[in-house]
Amino acid sequence: MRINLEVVIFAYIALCVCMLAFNILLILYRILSEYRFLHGFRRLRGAIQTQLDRLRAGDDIEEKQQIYLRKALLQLTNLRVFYSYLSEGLSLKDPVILAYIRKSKPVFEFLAGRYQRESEIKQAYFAYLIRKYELCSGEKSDLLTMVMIDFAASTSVYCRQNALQAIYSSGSAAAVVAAIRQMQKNKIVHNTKLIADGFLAFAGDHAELAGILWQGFSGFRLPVQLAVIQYIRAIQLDYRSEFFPLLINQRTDKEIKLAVMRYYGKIYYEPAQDVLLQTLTQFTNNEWEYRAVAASVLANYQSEPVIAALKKSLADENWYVRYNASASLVAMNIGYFDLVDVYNGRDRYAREMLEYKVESSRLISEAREAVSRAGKR
Amino acid sequence: MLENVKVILEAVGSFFVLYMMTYSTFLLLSVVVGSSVLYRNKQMADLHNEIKQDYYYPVTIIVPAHNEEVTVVDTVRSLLQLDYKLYEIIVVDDGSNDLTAQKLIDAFDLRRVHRPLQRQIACQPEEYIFESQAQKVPVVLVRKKNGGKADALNMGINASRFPYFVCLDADSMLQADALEHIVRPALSDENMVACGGMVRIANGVILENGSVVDYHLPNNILICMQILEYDRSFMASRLLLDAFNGNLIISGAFGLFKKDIVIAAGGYDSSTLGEDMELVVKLHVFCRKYDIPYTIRYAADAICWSQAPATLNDLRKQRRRWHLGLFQSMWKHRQILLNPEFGVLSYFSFLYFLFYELLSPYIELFGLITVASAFALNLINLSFMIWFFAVYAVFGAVLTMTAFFARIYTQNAKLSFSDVVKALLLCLLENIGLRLLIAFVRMTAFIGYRKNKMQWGKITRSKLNRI
Repeated sequence: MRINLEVVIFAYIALCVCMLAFNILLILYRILSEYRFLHGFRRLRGAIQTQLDRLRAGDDIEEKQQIYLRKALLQLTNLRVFYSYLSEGLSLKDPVILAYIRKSKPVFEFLAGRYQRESEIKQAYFAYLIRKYELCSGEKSDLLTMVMIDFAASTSVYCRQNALQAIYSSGSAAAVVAAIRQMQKNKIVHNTKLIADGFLAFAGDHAELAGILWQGFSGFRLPVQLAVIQYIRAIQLDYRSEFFPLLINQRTDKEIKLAVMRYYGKIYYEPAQDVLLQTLTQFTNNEWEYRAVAASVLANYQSEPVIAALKKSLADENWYVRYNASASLVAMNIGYFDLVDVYNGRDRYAREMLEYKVESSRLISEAREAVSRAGKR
Repeated sequence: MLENVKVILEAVGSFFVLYMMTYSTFLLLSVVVGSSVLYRNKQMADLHNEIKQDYYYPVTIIVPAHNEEVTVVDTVRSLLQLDYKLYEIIVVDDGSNDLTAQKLIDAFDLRRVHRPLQRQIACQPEEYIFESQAQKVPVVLVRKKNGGKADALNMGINASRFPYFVCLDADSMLQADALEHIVRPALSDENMVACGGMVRIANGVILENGSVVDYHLPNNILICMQILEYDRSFMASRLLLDAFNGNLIISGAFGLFKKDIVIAAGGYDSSTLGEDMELVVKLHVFCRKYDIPYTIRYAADAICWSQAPATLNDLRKQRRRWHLGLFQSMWKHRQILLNPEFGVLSYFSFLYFLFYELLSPYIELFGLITVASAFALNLINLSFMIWFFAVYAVFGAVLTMTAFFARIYTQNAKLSFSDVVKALLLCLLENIGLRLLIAFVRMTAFIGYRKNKMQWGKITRSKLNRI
């Protein structure tokens, strides 16, 4: 096959021209759209301002302007202008702006149906607005809550996250669990940290949310189960007896067991002490992660057998076990004389690790003192 | 005889036309895909399609330093201004002969500690360790025996306490939101083992509290041309390769890695000059060998400002080092070449790096010799050849321009009119000037290879532009 070079050259020249045209058009489009965004959309801005003025004067908003808004906000750019126009007042929690948004909820309910058919990028933006405007009531019959539950099972992580945050802002534990179940039904895996941090942002009663999540615990997949335990640990609710079977059951998933151990590191539970001690002293080297976590959480269980086990662990084969054991001993404020055998002992690993943790802890205290002195001045 | 020469020259000519067309098509694809990814990213950011958290994963920033007394304090100061909550900074002083360590100790009131380190990856022993808890985040200085940049990074990994680490050159500055942006993909993609940030040239930029307050093209033409080259060759091609998990390089200047997988793969290879590329290629090989689902991503919005060589001599040293590193990495992992197990990585990324990066200077030299021979034997259509090269050069310049303006627009950078004119003119000059110069440097890279292969390869540093 012989290449016709003239054709190739002309093809590349054509491509050059196209790219140049693309660049020029793009620059023009940028200038135009920026200008429109800043100075255009007068009617839309005017419509919003008129309604805000009416609310300030004690009147209600006008139906005809709301009908106009429904049509106008179907366009994404208009929706962005709407958000931008109200954002300053929203962040200042201006009561008139908040009232206007609440009264505009029917507009958003109308838009929700349309945005369900849009791309995920637009759905994510719509969910973002619902979250910012706190328009989800969380009730079963609430249209926006239903749409957000639907969006929470989107394949786009951004849409999911924005929708979930909109649901968390509703303060409805039932809606949160419904969203989680919808994700599971659609086989969507959401990041454990995002779920756990999301639960912490929940606007309702945390004890209620934790309770309802715990009820459904066995039906959740691993990332959600981990998030539930991490969440309960973070808000420090009393699930000591509920979690205990997970700690002692040998068939419990490793990640779950480690999360439960960390929970007991924060919330003291006497029956857990023996299990944690056994984990530290009797688990094999292959199970070093359990032993390392046990060495760390035992800081919350100051007692003679625990101190003895931690001192022994300072010479453990595993670096993390040694490190965590020394940190726990330092956190327990064990005096020099109780650790003199380690300091004067032959085990260099144990001595160095302990010395370092003491030094490190001293540096942290000095830094805190310096901050507090600076604050007093 | 002449007939035979004519046939050979024609065959060679066809090869070169095909070679240049393939390269132009790759560039075109890179710029089109790269620009569209940048526009899409901007649209997504405008529409709040982003993961915004108060707390992300904790990260260790490792700064390997060798004779960096001029910039290292500024670098650490800029790192302390990041909009990120959970991180630590570890500077590894790799046996500097200057005051790198002392400057850090004085500037940040570091105290000596006797910290035992876990040797998960082999590296030269530490001499002493200093720490400070008095800053926003812990700052650690590990002074060790000289062993090269890769060795220093391995020491940093050993000293790191967090599950992710970032490698950062000591002459670089991160934008305040860079750490957040480079970590975000880990939250949306649990298989991510590494993520490259966008390295941009700091010359001509003024940063205040980690944000750009003034951006203009520098007066130094060599640096300006490197800015254009970075946008076309590095940013655009990495965005293209990112589309199918095919990136072979994460710049050593700024990249995020999942620590446990890097340790399992053996860490940085101290015997190569291109430790950054070698690690990424090694991660591809390791994850495929052990069937670990993985992605290696590129975050174009995670911006690191790095100094570019301002003189021809410094540029030569830098590119020589890069080219040797490329050769070492590709040679070490040559099992990827035409290996169906590696799929697109083998047939696209690896072949591209082989023919258009590693071998390109030699192929281009061969091309020039052929053109000269054909000219001497009066076997060339001179006007056609001039046309061909002119179109090729203009095509390259247009692509450079597209990549440059796409980046400027999507990152909301403002350019003065004179900078726009300068960029337009330099697009052409870069394509026919800098490219040839770099080709020459690459061609001669192997001269003195054995003697200098393990040196840090320093370039002249100047103070970073911060307010």
